[in-house]
Amino acid sequence: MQESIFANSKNVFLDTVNSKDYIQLDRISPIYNSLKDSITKPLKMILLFGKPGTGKSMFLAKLYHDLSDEHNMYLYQTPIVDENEFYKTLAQDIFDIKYNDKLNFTQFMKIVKDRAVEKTPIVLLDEAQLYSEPLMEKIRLLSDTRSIKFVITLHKTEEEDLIAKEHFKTRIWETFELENASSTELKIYIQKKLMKANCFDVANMFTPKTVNKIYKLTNGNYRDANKLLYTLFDIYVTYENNSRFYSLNTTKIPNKFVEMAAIHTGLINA
Amino acid sequence: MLNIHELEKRWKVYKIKSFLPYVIIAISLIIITCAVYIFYNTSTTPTTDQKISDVQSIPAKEPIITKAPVVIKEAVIIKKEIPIQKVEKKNTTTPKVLEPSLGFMQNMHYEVSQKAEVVKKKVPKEHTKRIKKEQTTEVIEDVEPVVTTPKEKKVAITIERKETQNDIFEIISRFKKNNNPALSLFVAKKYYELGNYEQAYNYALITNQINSNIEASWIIFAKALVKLHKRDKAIYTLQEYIKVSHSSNAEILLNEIKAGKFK
Repeated sequence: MQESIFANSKNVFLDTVNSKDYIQLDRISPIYNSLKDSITKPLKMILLFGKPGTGKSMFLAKLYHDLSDEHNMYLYQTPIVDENEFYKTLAQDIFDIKYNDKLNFTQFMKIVKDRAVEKTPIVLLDEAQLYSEPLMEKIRLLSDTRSIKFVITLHKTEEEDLIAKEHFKTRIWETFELENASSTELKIYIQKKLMKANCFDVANMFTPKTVNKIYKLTNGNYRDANKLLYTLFDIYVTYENNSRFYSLNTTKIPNKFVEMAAIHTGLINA
Repeated sequence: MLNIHELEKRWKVYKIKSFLPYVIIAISLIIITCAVYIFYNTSTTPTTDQKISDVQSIPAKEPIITKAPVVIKEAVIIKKEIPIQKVEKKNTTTPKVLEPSLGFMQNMHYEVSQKAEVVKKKVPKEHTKRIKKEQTTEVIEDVEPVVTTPKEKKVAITIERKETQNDIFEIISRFKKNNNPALSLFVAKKYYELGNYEQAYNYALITNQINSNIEASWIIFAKALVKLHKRDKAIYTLQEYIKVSHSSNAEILLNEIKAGKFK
């Protein structure tokens, strides 16, 4: 049985980090190109920061996808919080050394100095705000050796301006900030995503009014928008399955559905 | 799968909640406008009542002022108003008016006399206004003969609108500003009329000091002296004044005082 267009559209907005789902937007493409260029520069550390849901993880995934063939690149989407495990993982991935016992920082530093590699390995660390202070300090020391280059992503929090932290302030040579989408960008993002999945009819249903409504609810946050749209199409599918589709308008998305989706996802407190 | 029914319920609650502030604002606006409207209406009605009470209160004061000529004038005004009242009556009792009657004149006189009494009690706005006007002119007529100089005439017109004690004080304050003997003479006369002979004496004396050629002032001065039981001084003053002015009025008063006719 062929899946309905709404079921297909629902799957488009599944909240997963897949570089194939990356949508190139006009404002973001120069940032991405700058980041790509900075990889080739002799920088110790590159920081990518922004509010949650601004696409940092996707950015990192895309970077890995695009440059992993050319560079000696390692992506860690899930933080390795344990220090010993962190060094062991790096030793195994970068230098092909498997350690069964504990591996401390001094031992790992020795390995880094002894086993010099042709291309400087680039380590991409997502959600770096989850790493402990001492481990971050050691990552800084590792980057100082210039034997390993780090690209880290951080959440920008209001309470704590991470860039202002001493160990970042002195060493980060390049920083990139990602922001939420504007209303226009959000429309392009939604429509491009749907068109990628051949859901052209559904993409046309997103009028500026509907997009504005979504923008107001999500504040241009990609993650929230994905969540909302997933639920929105889930509602469509449910109506479809309950044979209530005859009453639905297929030319545009009713506000009611958007609001219902927002209520379900918690964007509207009802 | 989503529980669409529950979600729809939640959405309805949300919609009601989102519209609630607008509904509250609309209701409160309606209430405010109603309250303002009611307040405006209630505040305007007493003013009309007040006006009526003002109008009714005016005739109550009149008996103090009314004199024979005024009554005649009132009667004239009432005669003028009769047709209006008749028109009103025509609306209610039309057949009576249309019928010719031999005793028409008699009836009319009878009605006039009756209505004159009614009007005295229930005077409409226009009546009171007209009567008021008549009274003011009448007062001016009374005062004018006393005033001798043209300057005094002007003063008399402005002063003699009211005859209360407050007006005297007002005139005194004006006198203090411009030292016009006409004003002080007027005050002396008024005090004399009110029976305040000491003040009448004082203001007559002041008038004489400013201008010693005003006959009326010397006469009031002498009269006040007599009333203050200073008959000899009054006679002496008049004699001295007659020597200078040869005033006949002063001579008449002197003779009256001497004969004991004026006490």
